Amino acid sequence: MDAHAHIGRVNDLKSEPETLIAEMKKSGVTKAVISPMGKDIIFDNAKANSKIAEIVKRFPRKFVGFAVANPWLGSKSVLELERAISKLGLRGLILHPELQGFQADDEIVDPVVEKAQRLQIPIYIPVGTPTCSTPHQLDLLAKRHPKAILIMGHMGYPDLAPYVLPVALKNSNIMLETSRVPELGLIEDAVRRLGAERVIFGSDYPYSRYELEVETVRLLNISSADREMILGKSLLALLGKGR
Amino acid sequence: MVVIDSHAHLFIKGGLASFKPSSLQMFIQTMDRLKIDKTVIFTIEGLIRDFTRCNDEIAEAVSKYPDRLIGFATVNPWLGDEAVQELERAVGKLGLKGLKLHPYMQGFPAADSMLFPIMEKATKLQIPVLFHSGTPPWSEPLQVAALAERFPDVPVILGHFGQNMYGDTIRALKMVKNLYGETSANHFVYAIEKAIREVGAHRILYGSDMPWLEPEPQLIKIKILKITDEERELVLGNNMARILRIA
Repeated sequence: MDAHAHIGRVNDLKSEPETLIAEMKKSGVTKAVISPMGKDIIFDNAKANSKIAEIVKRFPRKFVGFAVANPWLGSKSVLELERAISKLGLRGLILHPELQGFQADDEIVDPVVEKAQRLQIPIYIPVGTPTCSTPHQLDLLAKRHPKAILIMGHMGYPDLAPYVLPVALKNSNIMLETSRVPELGLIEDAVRRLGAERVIFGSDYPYSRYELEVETVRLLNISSADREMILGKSLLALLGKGR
Repeated sequence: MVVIDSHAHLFIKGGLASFKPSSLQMFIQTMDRLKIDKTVIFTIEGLIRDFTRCNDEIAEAVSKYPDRLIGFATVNPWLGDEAVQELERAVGKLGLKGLKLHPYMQGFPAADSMLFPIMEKATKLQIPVLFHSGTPPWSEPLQVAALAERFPDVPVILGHFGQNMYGDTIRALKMVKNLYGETSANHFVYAIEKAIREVGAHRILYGSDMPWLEPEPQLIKIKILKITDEERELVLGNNMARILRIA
């Protein structure tokens, strides 16, 4: 199961549900978390969330939807998150410090993070882009919200990967997601030191591709039980909490 | 067709603290297993200290496997004339074929005038220069491009395809003709395909960042690119062979 794929369009890069399902099938991926991409993460979140929910409704066995709620909109974003989860049936939140324009540990995220925590849904945050999304910023955020479940996307890649494990070791509410991580040793270390239940496979389709991202997990020098955990069970356990 | 890995590290014994030494034999075995004909190697330690000794060690490694390894020199530009003279020695006397620079680790902005004497020497020696790229504030693709533009006869390689700054890498490749993009560590597969489509496969180089990274996914990435066989051959090795003037 893929924890991180996008549907939508950014300039000449396009991802549609049917092509995504075909790509999943080729690499043996049975289910994927889908979320919007590009400007849909920033503007008109309600429309984007409705669109994701509609796609999930069309392919309920293939997709799980994550919502977007731009924290700059304050109480409006909290209401939209409530709607997206309770009414539309989406099952997680994506916060995107780089596109939405805030530092990951800034207080403006507190209302949506608190809401996500009350709804018992995981929060996915791409991490690895200074100045706005670093492991140490996630450290502060995780400490301020010890009951919120935070998924660190891309494990700090490219340049901040060395700081991800020390931060995750201090915060049991931080999970790590593998998409676009080229360093097998880093993922293996995370499995050894955090446990496979805190490591989650993702593809970042259409930016990267299943053939590469699945192969990365296949090549890891870990037990087959740990691999099964990374490839779906870790994520399913998190998604189960909200139901 | 020749397969050339254009980005690999030889970690030497007693080197910088956190790197475990890599054995040459392991390199060659991995290359055999993955059918990589030649690999460009350089040290990390030589970026920071003792570059004379490090270049000697690279030359010695190459002398053991002259058909399989291509040595690149490292120098620290902060040392001025000393760095320029060492580059002259490493290429002229030791037979190394290029230079690796790492603005982020070495602590200088990629377009700084400190680099000009080194780039002038690289022009005279007719060697390519490989840069780590994609790490602000020192190693941005556009900073490297600004330097490359001043030295149009030097093939300048953007290591890691500018990492997350791949958009700038593609724009820089369009502006500066002596610039190349190297693919190691970068999983933005669509961006590599876009560069090949919009700039041309002749400007893209396969690299692994071995042994830092496991080389297999980095090679799989090139194999899954939606490009022609001819384009793939260019990326996998023919381009680097042309840059290094090896048959």
